Amino acid sequence: MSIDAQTLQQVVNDVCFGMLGLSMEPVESESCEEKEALSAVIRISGGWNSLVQVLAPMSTARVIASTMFATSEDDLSEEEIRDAVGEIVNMVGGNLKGIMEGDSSLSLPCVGLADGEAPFGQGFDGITVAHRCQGDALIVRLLDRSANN
Amino acid sequence: MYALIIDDSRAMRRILRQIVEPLGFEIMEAGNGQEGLACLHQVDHVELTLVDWNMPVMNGLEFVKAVRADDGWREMKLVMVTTETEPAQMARALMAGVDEFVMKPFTADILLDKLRLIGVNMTQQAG
Repeated sequence: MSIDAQTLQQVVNDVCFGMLGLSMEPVESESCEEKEALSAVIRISGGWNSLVQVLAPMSTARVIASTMFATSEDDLSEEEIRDAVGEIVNMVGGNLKGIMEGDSSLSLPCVGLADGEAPFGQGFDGITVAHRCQGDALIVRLLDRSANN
Repeated sequence: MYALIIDDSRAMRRILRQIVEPLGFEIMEAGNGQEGLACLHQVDHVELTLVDWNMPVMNGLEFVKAVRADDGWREMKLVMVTTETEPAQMARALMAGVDEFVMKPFTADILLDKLRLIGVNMTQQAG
């Protein structure tokens, strides 16, 4: 069994629209390379080994945090914005782990400024799904390391 | 009437607070199980604890085991709010004394239904 793009998109939608009520429009491709962006990464290891990354330009990250903290974007701290994006990748990763067979464990999320191709390096051959989240980019990438080995 | 919310994510604690506080609970928050145990010692009676599983320092399962090993907190309702969905893991948590699970992502209605199911005392209903 493996995760396909449709499943990944559904999980992201369940988190962002189903729980948070954010408008989510799937798009063919989206880039945040030219914008300051946050990268939240979580590792799944054990029966299924994979990395999940949420890439969010600061505009998207602020919208997500504002929704989760129920406060205006102006009142958010940097820590709160990172925390909110980290919780998104935690929920996406946890749900993907639940879909896959085998006893796996979830790391704690790691959030920082997006840095090029990190953490995958060039030649990333995993799954990428892109959305317009409240009008701005939200990208989720999955690298199934079990499939690549 | 106190409710304790334990999650390493401040954002998730805020979401849970917004659902539970209108029910008439005074809310305490903790960022991991160890902080949660400290909170329990600060007040006489905590009716409800919502606890995440995957946390640093002391995870949710360790917290549940510690709580259920103490007769003083035997009556407290324990709900795990988690992304953990593996049956074997859930069975471990139930054996340890968890009353109910809520899977992330969730809605307010889902959480409230679970609280009703386990007989949590709600002095007010969420609007």
